[in-house]
Amino acid sequence: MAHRSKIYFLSGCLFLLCSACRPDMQFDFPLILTGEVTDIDSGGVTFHAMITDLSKSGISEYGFAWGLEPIPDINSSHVIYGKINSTGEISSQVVSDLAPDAIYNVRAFAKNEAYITYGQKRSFKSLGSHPPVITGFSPAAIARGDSVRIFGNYFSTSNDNNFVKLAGKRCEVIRSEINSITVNAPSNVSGKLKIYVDVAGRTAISENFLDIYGPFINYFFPNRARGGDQIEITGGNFSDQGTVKAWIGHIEAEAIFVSPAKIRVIIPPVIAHDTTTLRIMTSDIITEAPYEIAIYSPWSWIAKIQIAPIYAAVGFSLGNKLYFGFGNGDVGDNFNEMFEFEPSSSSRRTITDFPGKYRTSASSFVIGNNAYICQGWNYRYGVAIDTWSLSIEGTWTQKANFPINVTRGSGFAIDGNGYVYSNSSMYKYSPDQNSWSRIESAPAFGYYDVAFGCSYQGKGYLVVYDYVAAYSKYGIWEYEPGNDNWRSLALSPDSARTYPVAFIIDDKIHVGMGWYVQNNTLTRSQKEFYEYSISTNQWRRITDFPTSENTNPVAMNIGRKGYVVATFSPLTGTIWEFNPD
Amino acid sequence: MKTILSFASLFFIFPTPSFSQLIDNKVNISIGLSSADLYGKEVIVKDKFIYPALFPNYTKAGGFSIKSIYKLGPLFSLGGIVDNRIIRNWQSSQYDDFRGSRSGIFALSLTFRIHNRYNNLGVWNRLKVFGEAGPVIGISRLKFESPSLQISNRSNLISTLLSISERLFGIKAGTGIEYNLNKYCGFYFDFSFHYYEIGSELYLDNYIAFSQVSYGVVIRLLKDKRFYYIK
Repeated sequence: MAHRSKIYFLSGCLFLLCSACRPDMQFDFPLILTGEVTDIDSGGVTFHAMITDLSKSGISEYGFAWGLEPIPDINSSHVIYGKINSTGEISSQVVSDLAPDAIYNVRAFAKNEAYITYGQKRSFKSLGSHPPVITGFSPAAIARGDSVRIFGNYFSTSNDNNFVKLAGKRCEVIRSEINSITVNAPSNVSGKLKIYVDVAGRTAISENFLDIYGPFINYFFPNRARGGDQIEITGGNFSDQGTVKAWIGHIEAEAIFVSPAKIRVIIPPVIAHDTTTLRIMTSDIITEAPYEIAIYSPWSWIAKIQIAPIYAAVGFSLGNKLYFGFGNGDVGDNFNEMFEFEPSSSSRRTITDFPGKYRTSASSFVIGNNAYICQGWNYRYGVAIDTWSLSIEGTWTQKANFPINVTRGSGFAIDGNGYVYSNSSMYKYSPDQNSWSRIESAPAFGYYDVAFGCSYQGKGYLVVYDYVAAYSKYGIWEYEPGNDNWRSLALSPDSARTYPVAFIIDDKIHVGMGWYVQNNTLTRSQKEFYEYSISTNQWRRITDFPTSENTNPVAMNIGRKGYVVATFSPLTGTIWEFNPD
Repeated sequence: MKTILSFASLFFIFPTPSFSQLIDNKVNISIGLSSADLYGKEVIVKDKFIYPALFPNYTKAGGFSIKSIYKLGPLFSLGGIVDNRIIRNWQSSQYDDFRGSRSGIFALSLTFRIHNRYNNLGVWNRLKVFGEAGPVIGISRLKFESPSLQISNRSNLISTLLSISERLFGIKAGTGIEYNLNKYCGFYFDFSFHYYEIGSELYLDNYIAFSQVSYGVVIRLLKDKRFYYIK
């Protein structure tokens, strides 16, 4: 019995030993495992993998594929290596085609004659890589639609990840390697064009120009401009047949003149600061200027001062300081303060000692070192006819009352005398005699109100607008005291607006903002600005004001700079400067 | 805890109190259940190559074992053990590579056991404390829930590799007790530590280490026919 148990036991052990054997495995396909990504820094990353089986036929190629897509493959960005004869760890340092702060996925791969095997996906957050570099291209001149090979480094190995552009148009990428890209030029671009290659969000620009036969730009002038300025573009093969278009960056610009060698365009008013491309299209062919155009905004924010919200305020400049205030307070009562601000030093002061009646919708003009404030409406006393002067030293002095009970006027000064137009009549103030006299020749503007008054070279100018319905465009009237002559100047090309603000710089009257009126209702505040040239009697639209918020602004100028002060929320107390240069 | 409760339940299943003398036997067949805890780091690092480990990240392992022990002498026995375990619930805080996979480990071991001498009377007439160790060979079979690698041929048809088997060998050592309820049966409880070497193309683990608790019944065969009577 004991003998039999030994036999059973040994038989069992033999069975167990035999069953533990497994067949030797040799796969038809290679096997590769993707390791964690290491050495992540702004210069790239290192990919790792482990080849665990070469397959029966060996590995012909292996590498790594990566991209932002969930499952990158051989069509994604990749590095590829040739034959390998042994299993074990492989790694690859990748120094291009990685955008910073982007989450990438990577898979190792190995190929033989019949199969490609991808390892598991690993994700990593890139810190960046080397930007692409263009060292040259060939050929130097091509016909539209022809292919060109671009040489350099740090390109993507994926056709989809190399963004090659000519004159803003994307080229078809035919072949991508880390140090060269072959593309087909778009069939609708021409000229002497720089080549742009964008890889992982960073752009390389060729030093030399690729010459594509067709329309071309040699230069343009000026190369620094602002909204409303004209740019003259000089080149060749332009055509005035068909549509002519121009773009400053991505903003379409109006072309106002086309000849075979010249095109003139106007800078759109919506562009603020930018240095960007200038492109034109004639005969459906786009070409690009050989250098960028610098667009600047004349508007800049300079200060925000602490004031209570008011509207229908009065504003003027005296010496190097801005003054604004009075008007209605937020609760409907007159506001009794005036604010003083000096842009050059940002010093500010609140003036609380005005001895006259508080008022809204007052008029003002400046003679020498004195500002004069007259007219207006006082909630307690009605029309305020008391006139006051404010000296540059800050002293208030009462002057002769305004002759009639009117309000909402505008004033200007010529040759030491003040003029105030209001309610279809104009009065002249003589400081020497401290007296007012009526200008009989002043025309009635009908429903038009006066937004602004100023003087230039001995003539007065009034910006008038339709305050009832704003059906009509606004315009400018000119008054010449020497011969007591009035003249209506060019109407603004602008659509109707009411309550605009204005200021003058040299011979340019700048009018803008205000409200758009529809069906006798103020529908929205506006930020468009127009410039009227006294010398040429022409209007042009210029760079928009930075905001279309309702600001109930007042405007004034000091020398060659204009100022707009917001007196109502949400931007109460904000001061912008307009510098035409 | 589950293991302890299961072990304790054996006392209720086999509550037979016995005061009679039991005779020793030559061959024991033990059949029982096992539960294991795997050891190792979550991630394998080889120079700069970092890859998730397979076996240490399984959180559940259990199976059954069959032992056949032949008593060579008063203090020594020799036997063979068949273990089959299922390992599952792969979890990692950083990776999904083996999530949903299961591994089966089928192992055979030759075990050399040292135990206390049989006593005619008292507790040592029924209780046997032993220590044992021995070599192990076996097979590990890994099954994936979803393809681990993507394998395509030139026609772009995708084939997948959903399972792989690997040979393993190693050692085990442990200690335990057997308690004989009567001349036919008893129960046992043992604790053992296992270390197997393994290698695969689909994972980088080169060993499996785990501790195991095993418990079950003992069938007592081939009695030792030497009788001793107490006067």
